[in-house]
Amino acid sequence: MHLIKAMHLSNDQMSAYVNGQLTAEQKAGVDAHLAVCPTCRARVEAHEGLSRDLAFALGSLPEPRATSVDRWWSALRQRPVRTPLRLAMIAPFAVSVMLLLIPVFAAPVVSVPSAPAVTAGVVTHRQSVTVVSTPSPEMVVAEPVPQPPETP
Amino acid sequence: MYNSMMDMQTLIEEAANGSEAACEALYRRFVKRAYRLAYGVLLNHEDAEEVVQDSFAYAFRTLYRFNSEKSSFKTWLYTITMSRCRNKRRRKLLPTVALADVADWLAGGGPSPEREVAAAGVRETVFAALRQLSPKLREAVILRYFDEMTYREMGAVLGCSPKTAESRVRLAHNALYEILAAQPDALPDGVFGHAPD
Ligand SMILES: [Zn+2]
Repeated sequence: MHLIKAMHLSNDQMSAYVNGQLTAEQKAGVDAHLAVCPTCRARVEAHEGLSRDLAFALGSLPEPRATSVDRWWSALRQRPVRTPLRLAMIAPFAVSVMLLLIPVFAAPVVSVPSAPAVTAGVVTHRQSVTVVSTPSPEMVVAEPVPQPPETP
Repeated sequence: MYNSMMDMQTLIEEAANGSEAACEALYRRFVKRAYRLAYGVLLNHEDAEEVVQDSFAYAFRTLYRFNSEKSSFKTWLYTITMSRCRNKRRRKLLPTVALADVADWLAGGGPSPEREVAAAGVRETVFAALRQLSPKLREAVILRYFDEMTYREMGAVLGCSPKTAESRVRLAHNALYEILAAQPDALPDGVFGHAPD
């Protein structure tokens, strides 16, 4: 324990201390030093002040406007993702396109889509895209739709 | 039907099964947090807006892969959001900061009593310092302070071990300490001292 007073705390120890990274034992060691060292106490207080400032500044990051939240949702809904109605319309179309394309490409191995597991929408959509050889499924699915003008 | 009390498990299952109402409920429950995270990392409204929409689109598309035993939905969504933030930053090559954007937000508080001015000063100073950090350190410190994540959750979001997340937070904290301590004259009351409540 004679070392407690001998060495000041490093910045690394202090930031670990104020960010809750020390074990109970390590924390007790730091506390013991702080109890006898006003120099380190002052520096730890500054580190704690920085933590408070960070929590304050990052805790008050701006929120999106309510109108933006609604507008983003409208845009999201229009992406070909997973609405059952849209899928119900896409699925038969995908199969018929595939059947039409089989003779054209004379492709001997074209697997008919099996029953989609969970997200019927995504799977069906991807298969339809693959068959008609438009850009990669990922790109098509991720393609942003034109956004409607912002509502006031 | 999908009120704020509805439990996450049910919501996620129904969303994965294609319920648009469930997707919307999930979206509305998490969109603000996702936006704030993206904004904190990118410091730009347009970029954050784009990242948020892409993140939710991807999340809904891959919801069937989400495993609630491995992570919370929040951690999973943040992981997606963080990855998109990184892509966005990479594509831009240089981190661009819309200063007008930040100024907008700082000025957006309506009437400004002294306290509010001081608070805005703290935010401005802290954000100016955050901009000087490397992206990795900034990501870590944002996750730590904006949503009080555990180091384990942070590791999942950042794609590193909890220990690495700890060390990034420490490095970030020390770097910010040095940056801010080196410009004491520029510090408004509150930075390092008595922070606003
Ligand atoms: Zn000391």
